Amino acid sequence: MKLSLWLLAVGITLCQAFTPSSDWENKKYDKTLDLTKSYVKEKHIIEAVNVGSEPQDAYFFGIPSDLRPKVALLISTLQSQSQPTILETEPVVENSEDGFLSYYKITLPYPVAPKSSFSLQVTYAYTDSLTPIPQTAELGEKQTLYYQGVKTPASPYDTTSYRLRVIGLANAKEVPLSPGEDVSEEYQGRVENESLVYGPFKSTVFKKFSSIPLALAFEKQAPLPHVYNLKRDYWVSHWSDSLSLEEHYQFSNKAVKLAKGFSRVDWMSGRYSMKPNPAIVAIQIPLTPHISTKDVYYTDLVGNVSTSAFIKNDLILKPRFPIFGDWNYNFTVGWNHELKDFVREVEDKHVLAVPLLNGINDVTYEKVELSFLLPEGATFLDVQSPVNYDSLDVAPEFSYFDLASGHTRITLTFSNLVDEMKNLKVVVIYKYTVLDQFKKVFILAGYFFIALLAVFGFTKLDFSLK
Amino acid sequence: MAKKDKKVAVVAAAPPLAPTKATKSLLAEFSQSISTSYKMYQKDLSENQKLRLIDAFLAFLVALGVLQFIFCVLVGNFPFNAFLGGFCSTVGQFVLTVSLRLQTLDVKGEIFGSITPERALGDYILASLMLHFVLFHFIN
Amino acid sequence: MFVSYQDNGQVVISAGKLRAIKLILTIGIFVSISFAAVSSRLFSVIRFESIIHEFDPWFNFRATKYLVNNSYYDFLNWFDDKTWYPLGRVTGGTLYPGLMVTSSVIHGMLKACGLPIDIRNICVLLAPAFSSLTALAMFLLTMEVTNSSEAIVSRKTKLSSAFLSAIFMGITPGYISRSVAGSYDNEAIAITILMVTFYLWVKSVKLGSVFYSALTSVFYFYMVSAWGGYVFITNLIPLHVFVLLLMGRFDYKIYTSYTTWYILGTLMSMQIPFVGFLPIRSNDHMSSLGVFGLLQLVLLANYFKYTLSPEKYSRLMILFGVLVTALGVAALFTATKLGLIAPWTGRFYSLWDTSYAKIHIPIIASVSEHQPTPWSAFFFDLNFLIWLFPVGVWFCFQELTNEAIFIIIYSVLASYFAGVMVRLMLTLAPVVCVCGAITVGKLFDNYLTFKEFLSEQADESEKPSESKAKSTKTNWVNFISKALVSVSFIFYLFFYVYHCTWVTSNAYSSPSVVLASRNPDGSQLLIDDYREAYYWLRMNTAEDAKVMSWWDYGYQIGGMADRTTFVDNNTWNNTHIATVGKAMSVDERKAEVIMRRLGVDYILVIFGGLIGYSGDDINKFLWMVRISEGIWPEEVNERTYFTDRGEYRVDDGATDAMKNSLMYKLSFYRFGDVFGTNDAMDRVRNQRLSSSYARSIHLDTVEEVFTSENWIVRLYKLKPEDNLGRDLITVGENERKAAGKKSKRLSSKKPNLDVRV
Repeated sequence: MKLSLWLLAVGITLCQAFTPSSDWENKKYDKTLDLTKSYVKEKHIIEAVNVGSEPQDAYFFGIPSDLRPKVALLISTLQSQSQPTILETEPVVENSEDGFLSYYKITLPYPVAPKSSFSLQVTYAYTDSLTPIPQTAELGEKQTLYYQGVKTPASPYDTTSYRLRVIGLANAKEVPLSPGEDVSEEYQGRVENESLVYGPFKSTVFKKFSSIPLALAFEKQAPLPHVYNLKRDYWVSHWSDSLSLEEHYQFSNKAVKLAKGFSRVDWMSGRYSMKPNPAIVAIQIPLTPHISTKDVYYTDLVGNVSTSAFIKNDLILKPRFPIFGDWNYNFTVGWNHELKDFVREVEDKHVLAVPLLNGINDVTYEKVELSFLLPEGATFLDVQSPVNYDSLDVAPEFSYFDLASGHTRITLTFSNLVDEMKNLKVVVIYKYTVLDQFKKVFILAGYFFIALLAVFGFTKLDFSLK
Repeated sequence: MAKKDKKVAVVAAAPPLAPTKATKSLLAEFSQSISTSYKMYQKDLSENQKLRLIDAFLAFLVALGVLQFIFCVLVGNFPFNAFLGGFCSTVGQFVLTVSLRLQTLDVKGEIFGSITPERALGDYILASLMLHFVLFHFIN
Repeated sequence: MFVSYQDNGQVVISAGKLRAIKLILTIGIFVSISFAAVSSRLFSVIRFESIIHEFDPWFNFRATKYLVNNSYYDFLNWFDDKTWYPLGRVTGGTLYPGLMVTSSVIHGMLKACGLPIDIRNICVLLAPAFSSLTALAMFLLTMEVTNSSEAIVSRKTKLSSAFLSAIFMGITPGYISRSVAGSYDNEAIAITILMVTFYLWVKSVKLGSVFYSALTSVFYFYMVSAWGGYVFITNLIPLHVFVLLLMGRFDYKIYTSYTTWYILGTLMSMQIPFVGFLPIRSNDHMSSLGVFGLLQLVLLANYFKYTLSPEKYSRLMILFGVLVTALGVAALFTATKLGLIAPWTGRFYSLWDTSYAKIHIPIIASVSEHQPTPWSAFFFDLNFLIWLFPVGVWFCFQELTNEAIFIIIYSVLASYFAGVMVRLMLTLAPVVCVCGAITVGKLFDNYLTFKEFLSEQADESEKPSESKAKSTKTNWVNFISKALVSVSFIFYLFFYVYHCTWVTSNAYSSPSVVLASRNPDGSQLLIDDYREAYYWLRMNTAEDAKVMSWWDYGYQIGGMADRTTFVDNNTWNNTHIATVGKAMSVDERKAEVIMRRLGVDYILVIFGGLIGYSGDDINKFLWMVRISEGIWPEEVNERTYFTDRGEYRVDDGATDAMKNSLMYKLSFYRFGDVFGTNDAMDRVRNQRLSSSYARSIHLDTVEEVFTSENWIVRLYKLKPEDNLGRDLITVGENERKAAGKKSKRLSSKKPNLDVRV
């Protein structure tokens, strides 16, 4: 016990010690802040030059530490070639000394010689950063969102040329960080084609670790849909040649709350269900085109919900009530696919590839449990995921006519995902031979036979007393 | 339940209230008829050993039931379910045994037709088991 | 091949083959009866979904879920703090656990067989599944009744009678009304058990078998655990025995079967916590105890009869009789006086005097299923069986076997009870089916046999021609009359099936939680307001929020919204219900006091005025008034809710008591705004509220938090007390005054608001 505490203490001191050496200089730094969605996306295009004396093969990308747990996705690509290549990126566990920045180590494909430069693009998305101000509003009032970030590059390296563009907002204005303070006069932005542009600042040098906060308020008449927990179960059935998906959502809205109770008459007379407003009136699930989707059901904890429809390639679910800010709505939706669209046979193995998410438009996910239920008798071999998962759990689950070992349930737990990750595929490899397939039938038949035999034997027994 | 009480009541309570002549003769008649019955019963008893066994058991049950009742009246029925369980077990066993008695006496199958004495004993055991299982559960 | 032909044209089938054919036919007929019984109950599942219906089943469902998720002992000791706030309910001790245990056992068994079916689906489909068992039990009962008597139905046709009774029972609307899929109520299994118990009873009386009467008592126990209607058995069987005794039919068989049944059955029934010591205390059970005692005496007397001369015997008996009666009556009186026996309950009185409930216990009278049965309901629920029923009873009189007497007694008792309460139609339906089947069986026995005719036709070719003409003529007359009767009855049978299907599909298959309506283009539209609001409650209120509503919705709120309620359909505490009724009937100021004392968070009202849903709270309002008037006659007075001319009005002409009552305000709050400048129209009561009046309805102590799409469910929240300690009503009035002044000043602005609508 004491030893572990001691180790922990050492660990913490070691962690705090990390600061990247300043071997790079950002020759050109172009940052785009995208606020169109319910989460925030940033795109950084960086041209860096090696100012050190030795060749470097790693670039440390810094983000404000408080964002670190909110980051859903971070991808870096090398820009120099005609086709961008994805670079190996891993978070640095250690914190920087002052705790202001957290780092991602981007490993370059080749060491860059001193005085040479390369170009890099980092895109990342983070959630939970937009909050409505004020927190409550009357029905029909406009919603204002508040965003707080960093105006400067926030890099562990010096930056010589810098530009920031904020896109996807209406009537944006900078607001003080806390009430009563003034908006900082430094580096004023201007409105350009519905976006807010700062810079380019060519003459000023942004020293490393320099940070000027940015606080924005802008109008947005759209909900901020959020899923607290999503259970996604894929049932693989070789007998019926189908892949069934069942999803349990804990759905909510992080938009502005209603100041008073919900008044149906105002809702009706304002025709808000037709207008853009912060309440969710429909949940739109995009379906993969050219893949058959059958037997759709949409239920919640009190039974079937009769209001769902297909419009083109989208499944539209209408919740029982409009979901206002801070209202919850749990529901379940499911359907069947044809198995052949998702499974390939490689030698004696089966390779199942399914999307990580359905990707309901504009949704952020706090926790996702993705499960695969392999048929009884199948052997689980491997799982591959493009996104890091928190845990992997393999357990049996007994379903209809599982009289032997039961289905194998493989559960991957993810946290903090966004709808744009819907194209990522999770792959499960398992073994399921024809023999396995028939074994189940034989077992079933065996039990049935025994039951019949027992009934027959029972009728033959003579209970009568002489 | 009622039976034993009544039986006792009739036998014990009849003699004292008999002042008039009419009732006296009636009483005489009663005692006569009861004694006739009793004699016949004695005769039956002496002929059939099985009957003796059953009736001894019946008498024991009646005694037990009465005893419990008196105990309950004197001491109080605090664990009511215990008293009820005990009392019901004697009553239940009593009626089951009477049924067995009726069925076994009917050797020729005049009344009970298909029920042979063996079958009757089997049924009796089954019903008694059920009775005591329930009682066991009742008293717990 | 099955058959072989002989030279003389006769067809010979071996006995073994014949038996096999018979077996196959029997099984086939049963399968099809079961199919008919089950499938006709599935209308609601097909038309709507697999959902629990009505009100009580929601509680049963909730209790079943509790049982499945907890152990049986937890279930028996379940104290439910989510109902009857702040009292709570000792649920485990105040319910009949049979239904829940049955479905959880089925659930467990199927799970063990590798079929983990969702408990909801088991609950929904339990009633249809048991209905097919009921048909089987009916078959056995009819067989048993008709078995020993040639006079009732001949041996030949008893099988067809039995089959007819099975199919009649399978699809009779009187039974379907309580056993469609989703109607997860005690009656769903109780009728099956009732029939099995009766079958076993009849059988055990016939055989005098201890085994069968022990079985009877087991099923009696099951019945006790499943439905309060077990009292029907508790009284019917002793009555049967008693009548047999009066008829001088005493024999040892009756003694054996009755005493065994009584002692085992009573002991077992006392195992159910809700029943407890009732069997030795309540008056409902005294008749069975009395008959039990009587049988002992009769047995003793019987012994004397053997040994004594008839003269002596009869004298002895007279004295005996007088003594016993005197003792019995005295015991009953003292026991009632000493409080050993429960006083006669209200429900008991209402069985004898139909107007009793109306006068003394409004809470019992307010339940629609406790109303007396209208005459049309008999035909509606039983169709042509209702006029075949007396005929069947008459056939039973033809040969008074013990079984026939049982049927006669059953029919008399059940007819009476069915006339008293609508829902007791359920106990009448089986005996009507038995009697109807006996009648139809007998009719077909006589009229649907053309063997004579056919064989004579065949013989005719060999007969001399002069007698031939004559016999042919009578033959034909005979044939036509037979055919006429047969055809007309076959038509009735067809009509019966048609009627049953029609009634089931139109009257009994609505879940009442979901309402079906039609779009203008004819497509189906589901009005799902109840679930919308319940689900809103479940999702968006604190988990310990307490919802006040009229008791009808208590179980549904518990089942679907999973929130604490004050009163529910288990109407055991009249005062508590009256308190809620009072809060609804008095004005806002008084209601606030009551609600604060109770700890109300939300108030739920049902309002049908917008779309014309007649089962709403304004229509039930008088019951709330009546029930609370029963407790606080000086504060609530039913008369004040009617206008001077005795009308029940909700428009401008409503009485002040009506206009000020909380329920009225909650229902009509902002109702006028829907109609803009037009007059608001209440579509249920067909009354028009003038626009200015409708807009003047205001609420100060509560705040609207949710109203469902069609306004059927409206939810309000009790406002927290004012921070400055002011009276909420005064605050509201001041605000209105201020707003009134403002709007006078800015009168030009007001029309703008109206245009918006």
